[in-house]
Amino acid sequence: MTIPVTYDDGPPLRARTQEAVADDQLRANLRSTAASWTAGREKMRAEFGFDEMRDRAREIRRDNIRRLPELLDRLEERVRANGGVVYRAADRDAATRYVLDLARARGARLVAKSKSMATEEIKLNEALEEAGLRVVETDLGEWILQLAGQRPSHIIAPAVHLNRTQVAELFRAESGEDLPDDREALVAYARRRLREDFAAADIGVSGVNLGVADTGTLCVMENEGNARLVTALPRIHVAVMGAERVVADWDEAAHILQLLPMAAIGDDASTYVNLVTGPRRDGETDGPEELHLVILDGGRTALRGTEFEEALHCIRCGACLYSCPMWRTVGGQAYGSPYSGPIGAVITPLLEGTSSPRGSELPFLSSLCGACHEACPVGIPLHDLLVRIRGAVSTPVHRRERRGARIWAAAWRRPLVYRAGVRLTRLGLRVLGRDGWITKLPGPAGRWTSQRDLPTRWPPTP
Amino acid sequence: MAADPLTDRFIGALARRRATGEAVAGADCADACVAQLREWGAQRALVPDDLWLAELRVPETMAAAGFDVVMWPSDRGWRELLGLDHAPPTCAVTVPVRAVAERGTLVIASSPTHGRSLDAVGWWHLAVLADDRIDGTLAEALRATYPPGAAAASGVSLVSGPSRTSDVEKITTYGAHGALAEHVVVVRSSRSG
Amino acid sequence: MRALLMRTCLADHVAPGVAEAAKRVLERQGVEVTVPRAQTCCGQPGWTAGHPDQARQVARQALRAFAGADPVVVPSGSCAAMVTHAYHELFAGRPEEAAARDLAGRTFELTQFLRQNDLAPGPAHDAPASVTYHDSCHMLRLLGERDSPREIIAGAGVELREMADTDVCCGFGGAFSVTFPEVSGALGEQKARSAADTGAKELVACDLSCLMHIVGRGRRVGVPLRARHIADLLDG
Repeated sequence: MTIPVTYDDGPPLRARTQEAVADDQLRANLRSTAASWTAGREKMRAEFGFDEMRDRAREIRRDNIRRLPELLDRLEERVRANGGVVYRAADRDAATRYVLDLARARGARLVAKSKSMATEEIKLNEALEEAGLRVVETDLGEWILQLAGQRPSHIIAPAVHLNRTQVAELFRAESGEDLPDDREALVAYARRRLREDFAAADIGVSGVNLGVADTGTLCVMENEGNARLVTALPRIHVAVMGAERVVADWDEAAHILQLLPMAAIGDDASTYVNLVTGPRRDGETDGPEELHLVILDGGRTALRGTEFEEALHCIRCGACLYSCPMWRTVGGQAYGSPYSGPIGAVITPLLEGTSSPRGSELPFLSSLCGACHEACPVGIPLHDLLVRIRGAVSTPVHRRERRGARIWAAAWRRPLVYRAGVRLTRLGLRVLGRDGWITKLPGPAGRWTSQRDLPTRWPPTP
Repeated sequence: MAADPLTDRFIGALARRRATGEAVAGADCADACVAQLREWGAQRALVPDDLWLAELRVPETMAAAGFDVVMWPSDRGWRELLGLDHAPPTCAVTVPVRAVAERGTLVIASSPTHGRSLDAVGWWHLAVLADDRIDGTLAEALRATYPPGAAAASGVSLVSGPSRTSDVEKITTYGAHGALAEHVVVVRSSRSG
Repeated sequence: MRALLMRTCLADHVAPGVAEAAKRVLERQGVEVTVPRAQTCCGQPGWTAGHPDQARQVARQALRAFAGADPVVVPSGSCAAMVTHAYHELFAGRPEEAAARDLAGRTFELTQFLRQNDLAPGPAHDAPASVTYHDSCHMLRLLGERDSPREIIAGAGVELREMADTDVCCGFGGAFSVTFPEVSGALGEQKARSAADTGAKELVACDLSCLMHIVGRGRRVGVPLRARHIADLLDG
């Protein structure tokens, strides 16, 4: 059962980051995660031509978003022609309502899910559970987090912050069996346990990595095989897709499908790419009888034509997270949003509004180092988008800051006033400094000295 | 028989996918399959009712060797096919429609005689692949799988090795929800003769 | 050859010697340096903190102070990047757009300018025997300058010992350093330790902000570091 954690009511972002910085286990897990991702990326660049593939990928996504209405129309027309049902959901509520109504109409009791950030975004699990359905996350990492009552930490690898002993404890509690700590036994248990749910589920819910407009095919990429079973066994398959996740044809799809695992996991292939073109055909003996494609807008198409349009190019590979020094320090859960890391800091305010608690805070959890832009396979200038979004944030805190900024600008655009301020500061540093250092500054400046000493001479005396 | 470069590249790429493979003449295919079943310790083989597979005598040779051969489509329930309720350890046999040499990827497509999820339901995955179905690149294989104007198979999977997860401590473990291991028997056609 | 020197607001407030050293380094290479008195700040603090209108007001003063045709040299990768990378966006569609683009086209970070003009300063008389160099993010990613500072250091005859993860952010990030001080401090600590681990005598960078943050954090967690700005290193 998912224990709901409502981000909006949770502790503010700063508190979550403080907690994360102090969590040694988390920091160690994140360090090893970052190291292996970096090694994988180096390999893809050196041996598999990763850099050469990026320019074309950027062009493909730019073109996809330019033609988005036309591509979505074509995708919808093809899915219907294949026997599927398409529902265009304007927002989260519409999307969950559709799935709920479908589940009720079909008398469904058990829903098996494969990993989908879009379903996290619309809080589908909570809605289904409130309506009395049982929802099982079948991706191993997500299932582990479901047992632990936590939110996923990352797009690609949800449970990187838990170690094997913590996982074994969860499985023992769930099963009542005395399971050993070793990985193989734990995975074998999960396989056995979740097969019960694959066999019994009434509805399988998956995400969609890419929709291919030309044939109306939905691509679901994975390594474990649970999406295979979720999209093949239950009678009904519901696929939830972000409206921006569409390419025109198979040449574009081949390129992006090749690039995705290279960017995400430093490998030239993920284990499975499931390509769903409608429900089962006449004569076929497996596959769902019904396919429902829910296309989630949720604020996406409104970004077209704005200075934030490039955020729609994202293929949700997760590379920006792994490359981000902030994410590498605090992990994904601290962000408190379905989307974490640099892309999360950009699209959370764009989709939820810049005044929402996390929408207004996340864009500032960044040193603007640009590693994300460097890592992004489709070249999204996330560091630039973050600065633009900061300008658009409007909360009481930010409005107070704006008043301070006005005073700053009024002073610093005038050389005489500016130079007077410089003299005052230099005097203050000399007065407050002891042996060339200040260890505690007064007032709001105290936040600097909460972490560092401030040198009052240069070069600094060590 | 002259070696086929695409076949060699494909089998070489399988190593990267943590799968194994071999190229055999048609007459030796059935025995190669049986040998693999024995190596894995399978007791049951789940086999698609495929004409070419029958011509190669794969199902009958397996049965003769003492394996419990279950043909697909089967009326046994999902619980048994998935290996629950103490079903015997099962190897799923597939007949891929295409393959990708540069990545070691198999293209499995659904049809009335071939389940879309065949390779994932068993413990092990044994693929019998005609060498003239091997393409060089993913783009080529996808174009061949989705020719313009033709109706596409409703369930296609690009399978690149056994099922894996690194969700426990970022260390790769196999046999998550799909096959624990994969072996491909590439059957040489007259193309490479 | 003539050049205008942008002192940077940070150097003005906490280390004016860095700007003075940069001036001397250029003059010793035969560059006639003018330091416009009307300069204040490039506007970056307001821009990155999400106050573009206020940043623009301050940046306008930079356009006035550095008007003309001479190249502008600045001992800071992040200030140079502000002008070259962000000014066109800051002034897009405004009367100053042409002036902003013009200024962006002739603004250079110190080592960038030295390399482009084949100038090779020697070391300061009290230069350390070895240094380790931190790639500040704007210098590395926005200006694309990984090699210039290293070539300048080599040209000055100073041994360079590369630290691990030299291209990972030090965590300063402008306002980030006080909005999320713990995350900033954690990154600064990693950087301080990496620098200390090289055994190099001093830490060097092209950005004063990074140096103050790394050295200040290092001192706080018991990893004392000697450091100087690249301008100091070349001020022979």
